Amino acid sequence: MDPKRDAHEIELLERCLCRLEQGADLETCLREVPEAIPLRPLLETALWLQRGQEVALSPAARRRLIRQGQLRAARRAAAPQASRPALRWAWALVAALGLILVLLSAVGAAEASLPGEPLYPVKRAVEGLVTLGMSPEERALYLAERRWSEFEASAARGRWLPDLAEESLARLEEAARLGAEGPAGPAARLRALYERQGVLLEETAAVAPPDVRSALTRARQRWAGLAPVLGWPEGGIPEPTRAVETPVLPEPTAEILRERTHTPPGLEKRETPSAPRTPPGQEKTPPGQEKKETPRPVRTPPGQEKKDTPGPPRGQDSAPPGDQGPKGPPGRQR
Amino acid sequence: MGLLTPHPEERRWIARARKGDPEAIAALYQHYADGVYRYLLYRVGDAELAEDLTADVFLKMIEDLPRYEERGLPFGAWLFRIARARLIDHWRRQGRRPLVALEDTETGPQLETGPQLSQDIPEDEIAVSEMIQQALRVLTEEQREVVVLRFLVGMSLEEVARAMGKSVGAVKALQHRALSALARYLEKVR
Repeated sequence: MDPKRDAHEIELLERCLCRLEQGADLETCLREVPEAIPLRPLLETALWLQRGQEVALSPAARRRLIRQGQLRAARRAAAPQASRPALRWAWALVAALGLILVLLSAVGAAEASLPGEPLYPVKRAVEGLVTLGMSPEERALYLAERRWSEFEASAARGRWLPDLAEESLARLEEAARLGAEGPAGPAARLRALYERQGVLLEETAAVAPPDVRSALTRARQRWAGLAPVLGWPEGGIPEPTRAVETPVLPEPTAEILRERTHTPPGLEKRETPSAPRTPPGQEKTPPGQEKKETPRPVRTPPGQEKKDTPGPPRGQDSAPPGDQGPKGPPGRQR
Repeated sequence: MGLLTPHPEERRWIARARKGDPEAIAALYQHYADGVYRYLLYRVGDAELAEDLTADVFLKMIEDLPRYEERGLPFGAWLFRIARARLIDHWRRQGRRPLVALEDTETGPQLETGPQLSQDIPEDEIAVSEMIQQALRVLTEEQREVVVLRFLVGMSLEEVARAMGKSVGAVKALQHRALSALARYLEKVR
């Protein structure tokens, strides 16, 4: 078979078929295109096949089919009127619920976010909305607590964010100045937060890497200077009404230890994993017994580890070390 | 009249048929039913079955009519697409093809049910139809589809190519081979 000849034949056949479709008879077509004479049997076959177009549905079958279709169309025209709008509303409702669910999930996830994380701006935006209806002192205290919680959470992960500590202290001061130190609920919250700050600032100032240590030391100094602002005498604050929990700082994993290359020698030994930290204010054992039974290293109360460092204003500098619990909060030291 | 030849009133019929107008529905049936029936008859080789399938195609058309405009196809082409899908669905459910090409079997041609035509179709039509169905069995599946669409349904070369998802050149070649095979067959049986 010659492909070129085949292609030529195919084209000739199509040309003649088109002429036949236009109404020309076979003889006329072959006269017009003499080269197509060898294709006569094929053209005759095509004409014979076209006789098959005469086949049609019988009139009875056609009537039956039309009746069927009309019935179906009538049923369809009656039924969907009621169901379609309902369906549309149902879809809209599902879409709205889905959207609300997504938004709630995003807000929920943002609640646990920390600075530098993608959802943190969402958290701050939601905060702005939540505090709209609060009084100024309540708002300041609320924000101070939240920033401090973030500082604690990031410190527990080995991230030191002095800006959060500073912001929390500034908010605390603002709350105190606006009068949140009254006898009602805010006063207790104010004191609890102040104690939490003191405990953690002391600890982080010791274990934080050198690049943030000075910022944390400044924050601790600021914290110490806040006692008079809060209406408490310099060097001491009233007995707390409830126990204060200190977040557990991360155990010194290899990664954290690498970050703390400049940590003063011996510090990791004090914070050995075998000596879990008891949250300050929760010690129930009398101080005397604890000393005999617990071989853990005793943490130096704030202000005593270095004589030249300004300590919290509680007057603990004059108290003998044995009188204090191993990790008592600054507020408990008398 | 070809399956894809639109009627000047077609758009109005479609709009009214969507609202369930019985006259518009009857008009659409009158214009397109024969083309769809013919296509199905020559593909399944059984008049009763072709009638049932034609009924299914038009019921599906009524169901899908509200969505038709979005597809941007000529109405006839859209209807033909439904017919083709319905046919494939039928074959799938049967688990076999109704016609087996002569060259594909050792035992000779076999029909699913043998050529059958309705009692109320004229005899000469039955004779032609039966002969054509018999002859179509010498073709391959693709050749048969081209012949049915082009010469029995009355589609243009371009319409056949679009319906089969092939190039015009490929359809021309298939058409040439099919007509050659049929001419040889007819010479033998005459």
